[in-house]
Amino acid sequence: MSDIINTTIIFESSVFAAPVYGTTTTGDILWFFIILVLAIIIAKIVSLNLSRFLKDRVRKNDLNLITKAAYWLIFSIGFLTALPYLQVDLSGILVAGGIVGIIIGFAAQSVVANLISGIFLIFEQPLKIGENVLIEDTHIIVEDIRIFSTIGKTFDGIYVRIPNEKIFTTTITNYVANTARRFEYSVEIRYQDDAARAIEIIETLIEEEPFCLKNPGPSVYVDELAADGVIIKTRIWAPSEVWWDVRTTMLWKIKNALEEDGMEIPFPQRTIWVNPGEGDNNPPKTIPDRNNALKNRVQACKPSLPIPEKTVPEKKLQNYIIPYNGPDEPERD
Amino acid sequence: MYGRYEIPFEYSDDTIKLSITEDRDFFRYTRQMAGEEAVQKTLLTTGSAVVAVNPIEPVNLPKQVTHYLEIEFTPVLIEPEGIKIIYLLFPIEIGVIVFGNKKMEAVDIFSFCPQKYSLYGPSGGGVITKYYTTDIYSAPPKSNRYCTGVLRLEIQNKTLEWANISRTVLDGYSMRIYFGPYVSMLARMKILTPTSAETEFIRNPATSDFQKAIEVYHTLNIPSISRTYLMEWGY
Repeated sequence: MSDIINTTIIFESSVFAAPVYGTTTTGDILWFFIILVLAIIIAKIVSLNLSRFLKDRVRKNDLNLITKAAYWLIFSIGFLTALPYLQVDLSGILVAGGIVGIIIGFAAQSVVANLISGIFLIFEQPLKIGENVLIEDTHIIVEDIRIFSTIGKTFDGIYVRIPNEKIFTTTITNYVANTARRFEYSVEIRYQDDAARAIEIIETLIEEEPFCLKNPGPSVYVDELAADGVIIKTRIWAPSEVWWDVRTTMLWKIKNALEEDGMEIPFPQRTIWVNPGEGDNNPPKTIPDRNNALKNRVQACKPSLPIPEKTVPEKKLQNYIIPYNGPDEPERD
Repeated sequence: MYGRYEIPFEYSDDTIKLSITEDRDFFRYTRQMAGEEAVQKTLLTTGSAVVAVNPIEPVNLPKQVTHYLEIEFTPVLIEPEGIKIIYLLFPIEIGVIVFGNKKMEAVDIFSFCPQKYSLYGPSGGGVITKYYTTDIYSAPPKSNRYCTGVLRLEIQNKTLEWANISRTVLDGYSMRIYFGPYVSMLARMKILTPTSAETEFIRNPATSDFQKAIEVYHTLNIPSISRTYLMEWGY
Protein backbone atom coordinates (compact mmCIF):
# COMPACT_ATOMS: atom_id res chain seq x y z
CA MET A 1 0.00 0.00 0.00
CA SER A 2 2.83 2.33 0.92
CA ASP A 3 4.54 1.51 -2.42
CA ILE A 4 1.47 2.65 -4.39
CA ILE A 5 1.27 5.87 -2.39
CA ASN A 6 5.00 6.48 -2.98
CA THR A 7 4.61 5.84 -6.76
CA THR A 8 1.66 8.25 -6.92
CA ILE A 9 3.70 10.84 -5.06
CA ILE A 10 6.61 10.40 -7.53
CA PHE A 11 4.29 10.85 -10.55
CA GLU A 12 2.71 13.92 -8.89
CA SER A 13 6.07 15.55 -8.22
CA SER A 14 6.87 18.75 -10.07
CA VAL A 15 9.19 16.96 -12.57
CA PHE A 16 6.39 14.73 -13.85
CA ALA A 17 3.54 17.24 -13.41
CA ALA A 18 5.10 19.92 -15.61
CA PRO A 19 3.37 20.15 -19.02
CA VAL A 20 5.59 19.24 -21.95
CA TYR A 21 3.24 19.64 -24.89
CA GLY A 22 -0.14 21.35 -24.42
CA THR A 23 -1.53 19.84 -21.24
CA THR A 24 0.45 16.60 -21.65
CA THR A 25 2.89 16.12 -18.81
CA THR A 26 6.03 14.00 -18.57
CA GLY A 27 4.07 11.68 -16.26
CA ASP A 28 1.39 11.18 -18.97
CA ILE A 29 4.07 10.29 -21.52
CA LEU A 30 5.61 7.89 -19.01
CA TRP A 31 2.22 6.24 -18.36
CA PHE A 32 1.68 5.96 -22.15
CA PHE A 33 4.93 4.05 -22.57
CA ILE A 34 4.40 1.91 -19.46
CA ILE A 35 0.97 0.78 -20.76
CA LEU A 36 2.45 0.18 -24.22
CA VAL A 37 5.32 -1.92 -22.82
CA LEU A 38 2.88 -3.91 -20.65
CA ALA A 39 0.67 -4.53 -23.70
CA ILE A 40 3.70 -5.75 -25.67
CA ILE A 41 4.75 -8.09 -22.85
CA ILE A 42 1.22 -9.50 -22.49
CA ALA A 43 0.92 -9.87 -26.29
CA LYS A 44 4.24 -11.73 -26.43
CA ILE A 45 3.24 -14.09 -23.61
CA VAL A 46 -0.18 -14.80 -25.14
CA SER A 47 1.16 -15.38 -28.66
CA LEU A 48 3.96 -17.61 -27.35
CA ASN A 49 1.55 -19.77 -25.34
CA LEU A 50 -0.89 -19.86 -28.24
CA SER A 51 1.93 -20.98 -30.50
CA ARG A 52 2.91 -23.79 -28.11
CA PHE A 53 -0.71 -24.89 -27.63
CA LEU A 54 -1.56 -24.95 -31.33
CA LYS A 55 1.79 -26.27 -32.57
CA ASP A 56 0.52 -29.79 -33.27
CA ARG A 57 -3.01 -28.79 -34.16
CA VAL A 58 -2.66 -26.35 -37.06
CA ARG A 59 -0.41 -25.81 -40.04
CA LYS A 60 2.67 -23.62 -39.65
CA ASN A 61 1.29 -20.86 -41.91
CA ASP A 62 -2.00 -20.75 -40.06
CA LEU A 63 -0.17 -20.81 -36.74
CA ASN A 64 1.82 -17.72 -37.73
CA LEU A 65 -1.37 -15.97 -38.79
CA ILE A 66 -3.16 -16.76 -35.52
CA THR A 67 -0.26 -15.78 -33.26
CA LYS A 68 0.33 -12.54 -35.15
CA ALA A 69 -3.40 -11.69 -35.05
CA ALA A 70 -3.46 -12.30 -31.29
CA TYR A 71 -0.30 -10.21 -30.81
CA TRP A 72 -1.57 -7.21 -32.77
CA LEU A 73 -5.02 -7.39 -31.21
CA ILE A 74 -3.57 -7.14 -27.68
CA PHE A 75 -1.11 -4.46 -28.78
CA SER A 76 -3.95 -2.44 -30.37
CA ILE A 77 -6.02 -2.64 -27.17
CA GLY A 78 -3.00 -1.46 -25.17
CA PHE A 79 -2.29 1.35 -27.63
CA LEU A 80 -5.90 2.58 -27.55
CA THR A 81 -5.88 2.42 -23.73
CA ALA A 82 -2.66 4.45 -23.58
CA LEU A 83 -3.62 7.10 -26.16
CA PRO A 84 -5.80 9.27 -23.82
CA TYR A 85 -2.63 9.98 -21.78
CA LEU A 86 -1.35 11.92 -24.81
CA GLN A 87 -4.60 13.93 -24.76
CA VAL A 88 -5.81 12.24 -27.93
CA ASP A 89 -9.60 12.22 -28.17
CA LEU A 90 -10.62 8.68 -29.06
CA SER A 91 -14.28 9.45 -29.68
CA GLY A 92 -13.56 10.54 -33.26
CA ILE A 93 -11.38 7.49 -33.90
CA LEU A 94 -14.00 5.20 -32.38
CA VAL A 95 -16.79 6.66 -34.57
CA ALA A 96 -14.63 6.38 -37.68
CA GLY A 97 -13.47 2.93 -36.64
CA GLY A 98 -17.04 1.86 -36.00
CA ILE A 99 -18.15 2.93 -39.48
CA VAL A 100 -15.13 1.29 -41.11
CA GLY A 101 -15.79 -1.82 -38.99
CA ILE A 102 -19.38 -2.05 -40.20
CA ILE A 103 -18.29 -1.68 -43.84
CA ILE A 104 -15.54 -4.26 -43.47
CA GLY A 105 -17.90 -6.51 -41.51
CA PHE A 106 -20.43 -6.58 -44.33
CA ALA A 107 -17.77 -6.99 -47.00
CA ALA A 108 -15.84 -9.72 -45.21
CA GLN A 109 -18.76 -11.47 -43.54
CA SER A 110 -18.12 -14.89 -45.08
CA VAL A 111 -14.35 -14.59 -44.64
CA VAL A 112 -14.73 -13.83 -40.94
CA ALA A 113 -17.34 -16.61 -40.57
CA ASN A 114 -14.89 -19.06 -42.16
CA LEU A 115 -12.07 -17.83 -39.94
CA ILE A 116 -14.07 -18.19 -36.74
CA SER A 117 -15.44 -21.57 -37.85
CA GLY A 118 -11.87 -22.66 -38.59
CA ILE A 119 -10.75 -21.68 -35.09
CA PHE A 120 -13.66 -23.59 -33.54
CA LEU A 121 -12.91 -26.62 -35.73
CA ILE A 122 -9.32 -26.61 -34.50
CA PHE A 123 -10.49 -26.74 -30.90
CA GLU A 124 -13.47 -29.08 -31.33
CA GLN A 125 -11.71 -31.44 -33.76
CA PRO A 126 -14.73 -33.23 -35.26
CA LEU A 127 -12.38 -34.44 -38.01
CA LYS A 128 -8.66 -35.03 -38.31
CA ILE A 129 -6.22 -35.32 -41.18
CA GLY A 130 -6.43 -38.72 -42.84
CA GLU A 131 -9.96 -39.47 -41.67
CA ASN A 132 -12.72 -40.69 -43.94
CA VAL A 133 -15.70 -38.33 -43.56
CA LEU A 134 -18.99 -37.44 -45.19
CA ILE A 135 -19.67 -33.69 -45.17
CA GLU A 136 -23.19 -33.08 -46.40
CA ASP A 137 -23.07 -35.06 -49.67
CA THR A 138 -19.32 -35.00 -50.16
CA HIS A 139 -17.37 -38.08 -49.18
CA ILE A 140 -13.68 -37.22 -48.66
CA ILE A 141 -10.47 -38.21 -46.98
CA VAL A 142 -9.31 -35.12 -45.05
CA GLU A 143 -5.91 -33.93 -46.24
CA ASP A 144 -5.57 -30.57 -44.51
CA ILE A 145 -7.52 -28.38 -42.10
CA ARG A 146 -6.68 -24.75 -42.77
CA ILE A 147 -7.82 -21.60 -41.06
CA PHE A 148 -10.41 -20.72 -43.74
CA SER A 149 -11.11 -24.03 -45.42
CA THR A 150 -10.66 -27.79 -45.23
CA ILE A 151 -8.96 -29.65 -48.05
CA GLY A 152 -9.89 -33.20 -48.94
CA LYS A 153 -9.66 -35.79 -51.65
CA THR A 154 -12.51 -37.89 -52.94
CA PHE A 155 -12.04 -41.61 -53.51
CA ASP A 156 -11.63 -40.79 -57.22
CA GLY A 157 -8.63 -38.65 -56.31
CA ILE A 158 -10.40 -35.34 -56.93
CA TYR A 159 -9.33 -32.25 -54.94
CA VAL A 160 -12.11 -30.79 -52.79
CA ARG A 161 -12.00 -27.52 -50.84
CA ILE A 162 -14.81 -26.97 -48.38
CA PRO A 163 -15.20 -23.63 -46.55
CA ASN A 164 -14.94 -24.08 -42.80
CA GLU A 165 -18.25 -22.29 -42.21
CA LYS A 166 -20.03 -25.02 -44.17
CA ILE A 167 -18.28 -27.77 -42.21
CA PHE A 168 -19.08 -26.11 -38.92
CA THR A 169 -22.78 -25.70 -39.68
CA THR A 170 -23.46 -28.98 -41.44
CA THR A 171 -23.69 -32.60 -40.34
CA ILE A 172 -20.38 -34.46 -40.38
CA THR A 173 -20.34 -38.25 -40.52
CA ASN A 174 -16.92 -39.48 -39.47
CA TYR A 175 -16.50 -43.13 -40.45
CA VAL A 176 -13.31 -43.73 -38.52
CA ALA A 177 -13.65 -41.54 -35.42
CA ASN A 178 -14.63 -44.58 -33.36
CA THR A 179 -12.17 -47.38 -32.75
CA ALA A 180 -14.30 -50.11 -34.27
CA ARG A 181 -17.29 -50.31 -36.57
CA ARG A 182 -19.77 -52.91 -37.70
CA PHE A 183 -20.75 -54.06 -41.16
CA GLU A 184 -23.21 -56.66 -42.35
CA TYR A 185 -24.01 -59.02 -45.18
CA SER A 186 -27.24 -60.66 -46.28
CA VAL A 187 -26.31 -64.07 -47.65
CA GLU A 188 -29.13 -65.97 -49.39
CA ILE A 189 -29.13 -69.74 -49.74
CA ARG A 190 -31.67 -72.11 -51.30
CA TYR A 191 -34.48 -73.63 -49.23
CA GLN A 192 -33.06 -77.12 -49.72
CA ASP A 193 -29.68 -76.04 -48.25
CA ASP A 194 -28.96 -76.51 -44.55
CA ALA A 195 -29.09 -73.06 -42.93
CA ALA A 196 -27.56 -74.34 -39.68
CA ARG A 197 -24.58 -75.69 -41.62
CA ALA A 198 -24.25 -72.37 -43.50
CA ILE A 199 -24.19 -70.47 -40.20
CA GLU A 200 -21.53 -72.84 -38.88
CA ILE A 201 -19.36 -72.27 -41.96
CA ILE A 202 -19.70 -68.49 -41.73
CA GLU A 203 -18.91 -68.50 -38.00
CA THR A 204 -15.78 -70.58 -38.61
CA LEU A 205 -14.59 -68.15 -41.28
CA ILE A 206 -15.16 -65.21 -38.95
CA GLU A 207 -13.24 -66.96 -36.19
CA GLU A 208 -10.29 -67.55 -38.53
CA GLU A 209 -10.12 -63.93 -39.72
CA PRO A 210 -7.85 -61.97 -37.31
CA PHE A 211 -9.56 -58.62 -37.76
CA CYS A 212 -13.13 -59.86 -37.22
CA LEU A 213 -13.26 -58.79 -33.60
CA LYS A 214 -13.79 -61.25 -30.79
CA ASN A 215 -15.54 -58.61 -28.72
CA PRO A 216 -18.07 -57.31 -29.67
CA GLY A 217 -18.75 -60.72 -31.10
CA PRO A 218 -20.19 -61.41 -34.55
CA SER A 219 -23.83 -62.23 -35.07
CA VAL A 220 -24.94 -64.79 -37.68
CA TYR A 221 -28.62 -65.77 -37.89
CA VAL A 222 -31.51 -66.62 -40.22
CA ASP A 223 -33.07 -63.25 -40.86
CA GLU A 224 -35.80 -63.90 -43.41
CA LEU A 225 -37.58 -66.67 -45.28
CA ALA A 226 -37.62 -64.76 -48.54
CA ALA A 227 -39.31 -65.45 -51.88
CA ASP A 228 -36.28 -67.12 -53.42
CA GLY A 229 -34.35 -68.50 -50.47
CA VAL A 230 -33.32 -68.26 -46.83
CA ILE A 231 -31.54 -65.03 -45.94
CA ILE A 232 -28.73 -65.33 -43.41
CA LYS A 233 -27.70 -62.06 -41.82
CA THR A 234 -24.03 -61.73 -40.84
CA ARG A 235 -22.91 -58.85 -38.63
CA ILE A 236 -19.22 -58.36 -37.94
CA TRP A 237 -17.23 -55.78 -35.97
CA ALA A 238 -13.78 -54.79 -37.25
CA PRO A 239 -11.18 -52.13 -36.38
CA SER A 240 -12.14 -48.90 -38.21
CA GLU A 241 -8.66 -48.76 -39.72
CA VAL A 242 -9.12 -51.99 -41.68
CA TRP A 243 -12.89 -52.50 -41.84
CA TRP A 244 -13.17 -51.99 -45.59
CA ASP A 245 -10.49 -54.58 -46.36
CA VAL A 246 -12.15 -57.05 -44.01
CA ARG A 247 -15.58 -56.35 -45.48
CA THR A 248 -14.49 -56.97 -49.05
CA THR A 249 -12.40 -60.08 -48.39
CA MET A 250 -14.85 -61.77 -46.03
CA LEU A 251 -17.80 -61.65 -48.43
CA TRP A 252 -15.87 -63.50 -51.11
CA LYS A 253 -14.55 -66.02 -48.59
CA ILE A 254 -18.10 -66.72 -47.39
CA LYS A 255 -19.38 -67.16 -50.93
CA ASN A 256 -16.59 -69.58 -51.82
CA ALA A 257 -16.88 -71.55 -48.59
CA LEU A 258 -20.64 -72.02 -49.01
CA GLU A 259 -20.23 -73.11 -52.62
CA GLU A 260 -17.49 -75.57 -51.65
CA ASP A 261 -19.97 -77.10 -49.22
CA GLY A 262 -22.51 -77.56 -52.04
CA MET A 263 -24.70 -74.58 -51.25
CA GLU A 264 -25.83 -72.14 -53.88
CA ILE A 265 -26.98 -68.56 -54.00
CA PRO A 266 -30.53 -68.96 -55.41
CA PHE A 267 -31.69 -67.27 -58.60
CA PRO A 268 -35.07 -65.50 -58.54
CA GLN A 269 -37.77 -68.03 -59.45
CA ARG A 270 -41.56 -68.28 -59.70
CA THR A 271 -43.81 -71.35 -59.65
CA ILE A 272 -46.66 -71.13 -62.17
CA TRP A 273 -49.62 -73.52 -62.29
CA VAL A 274 -50.61 -74.18 -65.88
CA ASN A 275 -54.28 -75.00 -66.55
CA PRO A 276 -55.47 -74.82 -62.96
CA GLY A 277 -58.84 -76.33 -63.90
CA GLU A 278 -57.31 -79.78 -63.96
CA GLY A 279 -56.24 -79.33 -60.39
CA ASP A 280 -53.50 -81.50 -58.96
CA ASN A 281 -53.18 -83.77 -61.97
CA ASN A 282 -50.80 -81.28 -63.62
CA PRO A 283 -47.35 -80.86 -62.04
CA PRO A 284 -46.12 -77.25 -61.50
CA LYS A 285 -43.79 -75.80 -64.11
CA THR A 286 -41.05 -73.48 -63.01
CA ILE A 287 -39.70 -70.67 -65.18
CA PRO A 288 -37.37 -69.18 -66.19
CA ASP A 289 -35.90 -72.31 -67.65
CA ARG A 290 -32.45 -71.49 -69.01
CA ASN A 291 -32.68 -74.20 -71.73
CA ASN A 292 -36.02 -72.97 -73.01
CA ALA A 293 -35.16 -69.28 -72.84
CA LEU A 294 -33.95 -69.14 -76.46
CA LYS A 295 -36.96 -71.11 -77.67
CA ASN A 296 -39.32 -68.75 -75.87
CA ARG A 297 -37.60 -65.77 -77.40
CA VAL A 298 -37.99 -67.24 -80.91
CA GLN A 299 -41.68 -67.83 -80.27
CA ALA A 300 -42.08 -64.27 -79.13
CA CYS A 301 -40.87 -63.13 -82.56
CA LYS A 302 -43.56 -65.06 -84.40
CA PRO A 303 -46.64 -63.13 -85.63
CA SER A 304 -49.32 -63.27 -82.98
CA LEU A 305 -52.30 -65.50 -83.55
CA PRO A 306 -55.89 -64.20 -83.35
CA ILE A 307 -57.27 -64.53 -79.82
CA PRO A 308 -60.04 -67.17 -79.64
CA GLU A 309 -63.36 -65.94 -78.27
CA LYS A 310 -63.58 -68.60 -75.56
CA THR A 311 -60.51 -70.55 -74.62
CA VAL A 312 -61.94 -72.39 -71.60
CA PRO A 313 -64.83 -74.82 -72.18
CA GLU A 314 -67.94 -74.18 -70.10
CA LYS A 315 -67.78 -77.62 -68.57
CA LYS A 316 -64.41 -76.94 -67.03
CA LEU A 317 -65.76 -73.84 -65.29
CA GLN A 318 -68.03 -76.04 -63.23
CA ASN A 319 -64.98 -77.43 -61.45
CA TYR A 320 -64.19 -74.05 -59.94
CA ILE A 321 -65.42 -73.21 -56.47
CA ILE A 322 -66.72 -69.66 -56.66
CA PRO A 323 -65.85 -67.88 -53.42
CA TYR A 324 -68.74 -66.63 -51.25
CA ASN A 325 -68.19 -62.94 -50.50
CA GLY A 326 -70.47 -62.43 -47.52
CA PRO A 327 -74.13 -61.92 -46.64
CA ASP A 328 -74.50 -58.86 -48.90
CA GLU A 329 -73.90 -60.97 -51.97
CA PRO A 330 -77.07 -62.26 -53.65
CA GLU A 331 -77.59 -66.01 -53.47
CA ARG A 332 -76.28 -68.09 -56.35
CA ASP A 333 -78.05 -70.94 -58.10
CA MET B 1 16.43 -70.08 -33.63
CA TYR B 2 16.62 -67.29 -31.05
CA GLY B 3 19.93 -65.50 -30.80
CA ARG B 4 22.34 -63.20 -32.64
CA TYR B 5 23.97 -64.07 -35.93
CA GLU B 6 26.60 -62.47 -38.09
CA ILE B 7 25.61 -62.30 -41.73
CA PRO B 8 25.59 -64.34 -43.86
CA PHE B 9 23.76 -66.89 -41.72
CA GLU B 10 21.39 -69.79 -42.12
CA TYR B 11 18.98 -71.54 -39.77
CA SER B 12 16.55 -74.33 -40.50
CA ASP B 13 14.38 -76.81 -38.63
CA ASP B 14 11.24 -78.83 -39.44
CA THR B 15 9.00 -75.78 -39.64
CA ILE B 16 11.11 -72.90 -40.86
CA LYS B 17 14.18 -71.96 -42.84
CA LEU B 18 15.79 -68.55 -42.28
CA SER B 19 18.80 -67.26 -44.15
CA ILE B 20 20.71 -64.19 -45.18
CA THR B 21 22.91 -65.08 -48.11
CA GLU B 22 25.34 -63.06 -50.16
CA ASP B 23 24.07 -62.40 -53.66
CA ARG B 24 26.79 -60.51 -55.59
CA ASP B 25 26.82 -57.01 -54.01
CA PHE B 26 23.64 -57.57 -52.00
CA PHE B 27 22.53 -59.69 -49.09
CA ARG B 28 19.27 -61.54 -49.56
CA TYR B 29 17.04 -62.40 -46.61
CA THR B 30 14.78 -65.42 -47.11
CA ARG B 31 12.16 -66.95 -44.84
CA GLN B 32 10.47 -70.18 -45.84
CA MET B 33 7.77 -71.59 -43.55
CA ALA B 34 6.16 -74.96 -44.10
CA GLY B 35 3.20 -74.67 -46.45
CA GLU B 36 3.73 -70.97 -47.15
CA GLU B 37 5.31 -68.89 -49.87
CA ALA B 38 8.86 -67.72 -49.28
CA VAL B 39 9.40 -64.15 -48.05
CA GLN B 40 12.42 -62.40 -49.52
CA LYS B 41 14.04 -59.05 -48.84
CA THR B 42 17.24 -57.46 -50.07
CA LEU B 43 19.67 -55.84 -47.66
CA LEU B 44 22.15 -53.21 -48.77
CA THR B 45 24.96 -53.48 -46.25
CA THR B 46 28.71 -53.84 -46.20
CA GLY B 47 28.43 -57.13 -44.38
CA SER B 48 29.25 -55.83 -40.91
CA ALA B 49 25.59 -55.99 -39.88
CA VAL B 50 24.41 -58.33 -37.15
CA VAL B 51 21.03 -60.04 -37.08
CA ALA B 52 19.01 -60.83 -33.97
CA VAL B 53 16.14 -63.29 -34.02
CA ASN B 54 13.99 -63.14 -30.91
CA PRO B 55 10.40 -62.86 -29.67
CA ILE B 56 9.02 -59.32 -29.91
CA GLU B 57 5.89 -57.50 -28.75
CA PRO B 58 3.04 -59.67 -30.08
CA VAL B 59 0.97 -56.82 -31.51
CA ASN B 60 2.27 -56.50 -35.07
CA LEU B 61 0.65 -59.20 -37.20
CA PRO B 62 -0.98 -59.42 -39.67
CA LYS B 63 -0.86 -55.62 -39.68
CA GLN B 64 -0.10 -53.21 -36.88
CA VAL B 65 -3.40 -51.68 -35.73
CA THR B 66 -2.82 -51.51 -32.00
CA HIS B 67 -0.16 -51.76 -29.29
CA TYR B 68 -2.29 -53.45 -26.65
CA LEU B 69 -2.35 -57.13 -25.75
CA GLU B 70 -5.49 -58.53 -24.10
CA ILE B 71 -5.32 -61.91 -22.43
CA GLU B 72 -8.62 -63.43 -21.39
CA PHE B 73 -8.46 -66.27 -18.89
CA THR B 74 -10.65 -68.48 -16.74
CA PRO B 75 -12.28 -66.10 -14.20
CA VAL B 76 -10.58 -65.97 -10.79
CA LEU B 77 -11.74 -64.40 -7.55
CA ILE B 78 -9.17 -62.64 -5.42
CA GLU B 79 -9.75 -61.75 -1.79
CA PRO B 80 -9.80 -58.13 -0.51
CA GLU B 81 -6.27 -56.71 -0.28
CA GLY B 82 -4.91 -60.05 -1.50
CA ILE B 83 -1.77 -60.58 -3.58
CA LYS B 84 -1.52 -63.68 -5.78
CA ILE B 85 0.63 -64.82 -8.69
CA ILE B 86 -0.83 -66.67 -11.64
CA TYR B 87 0.75 -67.86 -14.87
CA LEU B 88 -0.85 -67.32 -18.28
CA LEU B 89 0.13 -68.05 -21.85
CA PHE B 90 0.53 -65.34 -24.46
CA PRO B 91 1.07 -65.50 -28.24
CA ILE B 92 4.54 -64.99 -29.65
CA GLU B 93 5.62 -63.01 -32.66
CA ILE B 94 9.19 -63.48 -33.79
CA GLY B 95 11.23 -60.58 -35.15
CA VAL B 96 14.29 -60.67 -37.37
CA ILE B 97 16.12 -57.47 -36.49
CA VAL B 98 19.18 -56.20 -38.30
CA PHE B 99 21.81 -53.94 -36.68
CA GLY B 100 24.13 -51.68 -38.63
CA ASN B 101 25.93 -48.46 -37.68
CA LYS B 102 24.31 -48.51 -34.22
CA LYS B 103 20.80 -48.50 -35.71
CA MET B 104 18.36 -51.36 -35.91
CA GLU B 105 15.42 -52.25 -38.11
CA ALA B 106 12.94 -55.10 -38.15
CA VAL B 107 13.51 -56.94 -41.42
CA ASP B 108 10.73 -59.44 -40.87
CA ILE B 109 8.08 -60.38 -38.31
CA PHE B 110 6.34 -63.74 -38.34
CA SER B 111 4.37 -66.02 -36.06
CA PHE B 112 3.39 -69.66 -35.70
CA CYS B 113 0.33 -68.66 -33.67
CA PRO B 114 -3.12 -67.74 -35.08
CA GLN B 115 -3.97 -64.05 -34.74
CA LYS B 116 -7.12 -62.53 -33.32
CA TYR B 117 -8.12 -59.01 -32.34
CA SER B 118 -10.74 -57.63 -30.01
CA LEU B 119 -12.11 -54.37 -28.63
CA TYR B 120 -11.56 -53.47 -25.00
CA GLY B 121 -14.09 -50.88 -23.89
CA PRO B 122 -16.78 -49.13 -25.95
CA SER B 123 -16.40 -48.61 -29.70
CA GLY B 124 -16.36 -44.86 -29.05
CA GLY B 125 -13.44 -44.68 -26.65
CA GLY B 126 -12.10 -48.20 -26.23
CA VAL B 127 -8.94 -49.66 -27.68
CA ILE B 128 -8.32 -52.41 -30.22
CA THR B 129 -6.36 -55.24 -28.62
CA LYS B 130 -4.48 -58.27 -29.81
CA TYR B 131 -6.56 -61.02 -28.22
CA TYR B 132 -5.54 -64.31 -26.71
CA THR B 133 -7.45 -66.70 -24.50
CA THR B 134 -5.76 -69.04 -22.04
CA ASP B 135 -6.19 -71.14 -18.92
CA ILE B 136 -4.59 -70.08 -15.67
CA TYR B 137 -1.71 -71.96 -14.08
CA SER B 138 -0.14 -71.93 -10.64
CA ALA B 139 3.34 -72.63 -12.04
CA PRO B 140 4.97 -71.90 -15.42
CA PRO B 141 3.21 -74.27 -17.84
CA LYS B 142 4.97 -76.13 -20.62
CA SER B 143 4.89 -74.09 -23.79
CA ASN B 144 6.27 -74.16 -27.30
CA ARG B 145 8.86 -71.39 -27.14
CA TYR B 146 8.22 -70.46 -30.77
CA CYS B 147 4.44 -70.22 -30.40
CA THR B 148 3.45 -69.25 -26.86
CA GLY B 149 5.20 -67.56 -23.97
CA VAL B 150 4.50 -67.57 -20.25
CA LEU B 151 3.25 -64.45 -18.49
CA ARG B 152 3.78 -64.32 -14.74
CA LEU B 153 1.02 -62.02 -13.52
CA GLU B 154 1.05 -60.70 -10.00
CA ILE B 155 -2.47 -59.63 -9.04
CA GLN B 156 -2.83 -57.14 -6.21
CA ASN B 157 -6.33 -56.42 -4.99
CA LYS B 158 -6.17 -52.96 -3.47
CA THR B 159 -9.92 -52.82 -2.81
CA LEU B 160 -11.84 -54.00 0.25
CA GLU B 161 -14.06 -56.26 -1.86
CA TRP B 162 -13.57 -59.60 -3.59
CA ALA B 163 -12.62 -59.00 -7.22
CA ASN B 164 -13.58 -61.24 -10.13
CA ILE B 165 -10.88 -61.07 -12.82
CA SER B 166 -11.02 -62.63 -16.24
CA ARG B 167 -8.75 -60.47 -18.39
CA THR B 168 -5.69 -58.30 -18.40
CA VAL B 169 -4.74 -55.64 -20.93
CA LEU B 170 -1.07 -54.81 -21.34
CA ASP B 171 0.58 -51.94 -23.19
CA GLY B 172 3.06 -53.04 -25.85
CA TYR B 173 5.18 -49.90 -25.44
CA SER B 174 6.49 -51.02 -22.08
CA MET B 175 6.69 -54.78 -22.70
CA ARG B 176 9.80 -56.57 -21.48
CA ILE B 177 10.24 -59.99 -23.07
CA TYR B 178 12.86 -62.51 -22.01
CA PHE B 179 13.78 -65.81 -23.62
CA GLY B 180 15.56 -68.84 -22.27
CA PRO B 181 14.04 -72.24 -21.49
CA TYR B 182 10.79 -70.60 -22.50
CA VAL B 183 9.67 -67.10 -23.48
CA SER B 184 8.73 -65.07 -20.45
CA MET B 185 7.14 -61.79 -19.41
CA LEU B 186 6.50 -60.52 -15.89
CA ALA B 187 3.66 -58.14 -15.18
CA ARG B 188 1.70 -56.72 -12.30
CA MET B 189 -2.03 -55.95 -12.19
CA LYS B 190 -3.38 -53.73 -9.44
CA ILE B 191 -7.11 -53.81 -8.84
CA LEU B 192 -7.93 -50.21 -7.97
CA THR B 193 -11.74 -50.10 -7.95
CA PRO B 194 -14.52 -52.57 -8.77
CA THR B 195 -14.26 -51.49 -12.43
CA SER B 196 -10.67 -50.39 -12.97
CA ALA B 197 -7.20 -51.83 -12.70
CA GLU B 198 -3.67 -50.81 -13.59
CA THR B 199 -1.17 -53.00 -15.38
CA GLU B 200 2.58 -52.64 -15.72
CA PHE B 201 5.56 -54.74 -16.70
CA ILE B 202 8.30 -55.79 -14.30
CA ARG B 203 11.78 -55.22 -15.72
CA ASN B 204 13.29 -58.46 -14.46
CA PRO B 205 13.78 -61.89 -15.99
CA ALA B 206 12.09 -64.88 -14.33
CA THR B 207 15.53 -66.38 -13.56
CA SER B 208 19.12 -65.71 -14.57
CA ASP B 209 18.76 -68.28 -17.38
CA PHE B 210 16.80 -65.76 -19.40
CA GLN B 211 18.10 -63.25 -21.90
CA LYS B 212 16.37 -59.99 -22.74
CA ALA B 213 14.78 -59.76 -26.17
CA ILE B 214 15.19 -56.70 -28.37
CA GLU B 215 11.98 -54.70 -28.60
CA VAL B 216 10.80 -53.71 -32.05
CA TYR B 217 8.93 -50.65 -30.80
CA HIS B 218 12.21 -49.15 -29.68
CA THR B 219 13.62 -50.11 -33.06
CA LEU B 220 10.88 -48.09 -34.68
CA ASN B 221 11.72 -45.14 -32.40
CA ILE B 222 8.30 -44.99 -30.78
CA PRO B 223 8.80 -43.25 -27.46
CA SER B 224 7.58 -44.88 -24.30
CA ILE B 225 4.94 -42.53 -22.99
CA SER B 226 3.62 -44.38 -19.97
CA ARG B 227 4.86 -47.34 -18.02
CA THR B 228 1.38 -48.34 -16.86
CA TYR B 229 -1.95 -48.94 -18.53
CA LEU B 230 -5.21 -48.10 -16.81
CA MET B 231 -7.92 -50.68 -17.51
CA GLU B 232 -10.91 -48.43 -17.01
CA TRP B 233 -13.57 -50.61 -18.65
CA GLY B 234 -13.49 -53.55 -16.31
CA TYR B 235 -11.44 -56.66 -15.83
